[in-house]
Amino acid sequence: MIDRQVEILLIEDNQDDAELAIRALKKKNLANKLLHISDSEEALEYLFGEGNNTYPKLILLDLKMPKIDGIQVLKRIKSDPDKKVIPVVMLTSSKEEKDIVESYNLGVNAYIVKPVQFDKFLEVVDQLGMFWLLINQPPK
Amino acid sequence: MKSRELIFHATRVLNHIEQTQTNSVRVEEILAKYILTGDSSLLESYNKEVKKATTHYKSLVQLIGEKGSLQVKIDSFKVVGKRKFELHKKIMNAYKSSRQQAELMLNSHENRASSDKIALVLANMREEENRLLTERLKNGQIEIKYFQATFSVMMVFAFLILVAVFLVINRSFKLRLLAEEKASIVNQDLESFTYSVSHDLRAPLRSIRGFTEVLREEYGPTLGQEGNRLLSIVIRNAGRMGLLIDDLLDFSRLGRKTLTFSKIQVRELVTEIIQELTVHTPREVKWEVKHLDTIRADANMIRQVWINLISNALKYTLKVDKPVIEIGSFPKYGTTVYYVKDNGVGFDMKYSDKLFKVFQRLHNNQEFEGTGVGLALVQRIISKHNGKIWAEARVNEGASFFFYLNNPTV
Repeated sequence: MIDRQVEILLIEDNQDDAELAIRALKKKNLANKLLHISDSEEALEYLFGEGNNTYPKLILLDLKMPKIDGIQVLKRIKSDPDKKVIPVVMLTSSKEEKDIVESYNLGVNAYIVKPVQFDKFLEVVDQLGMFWLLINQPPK
Repeated sequence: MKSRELIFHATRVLNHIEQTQTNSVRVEEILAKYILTGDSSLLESYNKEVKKATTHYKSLVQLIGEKGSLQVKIDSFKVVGKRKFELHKKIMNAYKSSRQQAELMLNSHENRASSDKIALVLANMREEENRLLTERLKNGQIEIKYFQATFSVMMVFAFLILVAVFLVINRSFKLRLLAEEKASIVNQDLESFTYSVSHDLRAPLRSIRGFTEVLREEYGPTLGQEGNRLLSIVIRNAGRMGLLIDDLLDFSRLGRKTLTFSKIQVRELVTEIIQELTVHTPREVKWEVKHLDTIRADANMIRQVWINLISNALKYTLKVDKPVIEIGSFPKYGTTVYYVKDNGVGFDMKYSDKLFKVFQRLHNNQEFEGTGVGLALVQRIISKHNGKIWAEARVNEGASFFFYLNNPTV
């Protein structure tokens, strides 16, 4: 049984950033089935733990995290024969060229620099949710 | 002369001596035959041989010319040769009247002695030439030995110099490697510095701005007018700090970038930028875009230069009634100078040295917004292209910015 209980999985260690993201998603009515995990190790356990068959419609992944960073989480997801179909959107503070290149090489589906202005952030989250949750057709 | 030439020369001298000897013997034989047979055709052969002998003699004179000891001997040959020729003439004259008389004269002691003398002189010449050759060869060998010694010494010197040069190069190469290593460490430090700045500084800033906006949105109505004004100040300043960080990062990233040159249609670029900059803020600006030469530069960077200069012109003409912005190029200093001229607020030229420095501004933020990075960035780009930028301005009479790149325009 494929578990579609969670539509959006937000992996973000910064509580404040997470709250802003959740607020933005809520404002656009996209946070009904959202799960926030602030620890990347925990997030991997959630995705790959025994007996788990969760397939979120979208993973929002922070790049810079302690212990296991976003790039490593991305690598783990995209190298898994089953879970690699889950769209992963990288959320990051900076537009460092090498991070962008590395993420795309690993098969990231989108790469977004979190804007400082909250109104712009709202816009970004809105477009993100619309596209990945409503427009995009994931493989069955 | 080198020993090879010496030997060759001597061989020629000896050959001519030999030939002269042969010819003189043959002349004697032919005359004897003529006296015996009376065959007049032999006279022709006689003359031929005499001619040959003369030719060899002349060659010898030419070859020996400068050699003192042989010169004396060849002079004696001339004397004995002449004496011989005179004797032969006498014999031939005598033959006309009496064959017997001529035969007697031919076999006379005088004639024989004359032949012997010729042979002796020639033999002496041969001997002398051989002696000279040996002597010269010896000298040549000494010269060769001397040359070899000099050459060896020079080789040793050359080798020592090479070793010294190698050591110096090796040393400076090692120093350079060390410097490069240091520079690379500095670069890496700088890179990780800008990287953390871009990450770590932006994150708290995002929270400040984000939550202030949330606060205003959700609690704005209960905070009153003053409360909302204060929130706006926080939001505005957080935004400004965001811009500063972004600009500073752009500025520091520029240092690491390498240039990729291409030919750029400046007129098209400028027209495009004007459109982009004015599409969202419609204003009455009189644009005077004159002739603009194409340029060889890094496309992205030169685009940034034009964006900054044109948006500056737009910014500082905001408070002018009839803004006019002129953009063009003209040939000077063997290259093309580009300019952006406005009739805006201008500035006092005594502050012109601060114009292109980072975070230095000639207007405060209330008057005109800005981070003080734009022109610093422009100057950095232009100096990366080995070019120059300068400005001319007067307070309230507008400003003109000129620049050229060191690459010849295409």
